[in-house]
Amino acid sequence: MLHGNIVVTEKARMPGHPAADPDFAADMQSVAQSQDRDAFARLFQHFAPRIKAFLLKQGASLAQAEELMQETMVTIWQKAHQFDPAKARASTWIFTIARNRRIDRLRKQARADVDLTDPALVPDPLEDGEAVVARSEDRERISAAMRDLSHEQLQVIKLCYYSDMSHSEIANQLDIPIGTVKSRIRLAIARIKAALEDA
Amino acid sequence: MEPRHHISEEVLFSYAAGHTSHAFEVVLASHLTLCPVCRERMAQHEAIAGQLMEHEQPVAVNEDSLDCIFAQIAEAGPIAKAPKSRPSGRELSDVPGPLAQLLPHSDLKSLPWQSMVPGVKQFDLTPEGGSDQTLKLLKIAPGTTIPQHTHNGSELTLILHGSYTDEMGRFKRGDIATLDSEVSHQPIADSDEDCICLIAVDGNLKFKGLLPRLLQPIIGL
Repeated sequence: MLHGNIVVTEKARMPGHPAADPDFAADMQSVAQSQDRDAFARLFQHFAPRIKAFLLKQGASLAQAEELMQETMVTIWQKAHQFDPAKARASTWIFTIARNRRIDRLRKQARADVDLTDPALVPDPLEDGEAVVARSEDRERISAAMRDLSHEQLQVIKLCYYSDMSHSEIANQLDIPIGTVKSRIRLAIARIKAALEDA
Repeated sequence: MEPRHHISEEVLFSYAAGHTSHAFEVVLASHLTLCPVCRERMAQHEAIAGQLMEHEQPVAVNEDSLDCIFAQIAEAGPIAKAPKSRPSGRELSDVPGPLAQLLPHSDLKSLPWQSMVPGVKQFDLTPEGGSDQTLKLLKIAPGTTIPQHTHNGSELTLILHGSYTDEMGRFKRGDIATLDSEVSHQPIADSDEDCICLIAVDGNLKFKGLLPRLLQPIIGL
């Protein structure tokens, strides 16, 4: 069942080319600060179909993927105030929420994670402003390089990340030789690396 | 002081992707609590995963999806923004939170330790139903040598107190060792205090090597 509005929005955003990098950080903050439902609806339109796709790739059924996606969106609303645009892109933060919801569903124990208010936490060393900027630029470069990867390269990297499949299982699923799987991974990583070295 | 022995790229990759067992997560999250270096590496792995999700071919959601979400939000009620108050007694603890949550109290030395062999005691934390995973604390008396051994499956060891030395070097508070069936070692508790370690074993875990190894020069140490 296609949702009319979503299809129109996706066309407007040119799927596969989010290079303009719409400012979801601003929408996240509007949700956090003023419970802005329009901003939330924009987040929903962009991320919900991708979260659902991500969950399907990890083996959820259609119904489970829809349900977990909805839970993820509810959590995004509830925890929006914890999002810090200086530390992560909205897509990174939303990935971690979806990942954790999925784990919570799969087993009894919640995912064990770092709590930044933990009294035992060893804090980040004090860094000068330059180092902080360099780190966030590195992450931007990783993101930019990934946007430039070919469809085939992205496909194999996704399978490595999302599933517990070995390279030969990936080769089987895509019906390509294992050497091709490996060379696509190598090429993709080389491009990300080159982007960082150009800095 | 920052740890010197860090999480291997394969294990960190697997944790970021959400593929590790609960026992492993407790050890990894405890190391991350003590290690700003690995927290940053973890953030980069998650940034890549976030980009991958960003590049997913969108899948149609249910027609009433957004309405359902707003209904669930309304049902859950207003959001509590105040940070959760810490349980009393945690303020002074140097036990990382992900481990502290599993303990009856946060004084490691006075846990109900069980003797295994002379000089070595353990406190079992294996979760219910964790058939292929174990999680335990080990307390090794000063000067004790653990005989040469290898490991079943994959094993993570995090030092919480004291230190030990083996073929791979000296391990102190915050340091983490990744061990598997190919690693044979003979650790010696080498300070004048008990060496307390948190150990997770995952019998089923096989790390998928190539991608993390290639990522290492980008993200790694």
